[in-house]
Amino acid sequence: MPELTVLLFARVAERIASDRVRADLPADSDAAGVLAALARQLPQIRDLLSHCRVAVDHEFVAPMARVHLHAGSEVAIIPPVSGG
Amino acid sequence: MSSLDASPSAVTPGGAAPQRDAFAILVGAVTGTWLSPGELIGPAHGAVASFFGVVRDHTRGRAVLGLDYQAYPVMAEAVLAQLARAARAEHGEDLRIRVAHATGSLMPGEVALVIHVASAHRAAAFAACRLLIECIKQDLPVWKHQHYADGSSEWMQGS
Repeated sequence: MPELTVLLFARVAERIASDRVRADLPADSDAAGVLAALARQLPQIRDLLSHCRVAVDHEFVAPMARVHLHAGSEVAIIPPVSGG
Repeated sequence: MSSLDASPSAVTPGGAAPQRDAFAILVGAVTGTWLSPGELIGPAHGAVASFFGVVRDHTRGRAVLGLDYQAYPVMAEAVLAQLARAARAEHGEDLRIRVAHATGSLMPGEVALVIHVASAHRAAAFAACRLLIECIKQDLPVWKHQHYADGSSEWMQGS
């Protein structure tokens, strides 16, 4: 379980009042596993996380893909986007 | 402001490699040279399609005073480069593509997004431009925080 900095945006960052948190995340998991671990540690954003995607090193993690995290991984929680 | 020129994977050996692609997440509204396709156009390009996303003064009947765009800039530029590769794979390796998205505070009437696509022919230019805007709406890590005339504000989801 590496402890990593997780980047937060928009509604999720607003709820936590910070654009990043430290969290213990599973080293070998998938997007659902990452979101579940975060929800356990930050119950105040549990409802928002169910609508979020996970990005690692600037790429979305595909729904069924494995996620391998290490100390230098840049993990971000991506709420539904509204650019354009 | 930062930009990323010609993604290496877009260069095809012996072919007409696009030289002037650019993708940027800007601080503030889209202005200046980004508003025009400019040097994107090469001698083999007979068509340029451009799309402008502009801040609207209303949403579902509510008056909008302005908005703030937040972005994850590093990932957003990576996503734009990836979408450009996908557009080229679908609509032709000769396409040249420039995309810029605004961040920060914008007022109604200001330009939030611009897409320019140059191609040999109009069909590919229109189709690639349409593909890019639809994919940007789904995948670009940018978020709109909208401020209303009644004093309320909200993070938008989708659009």
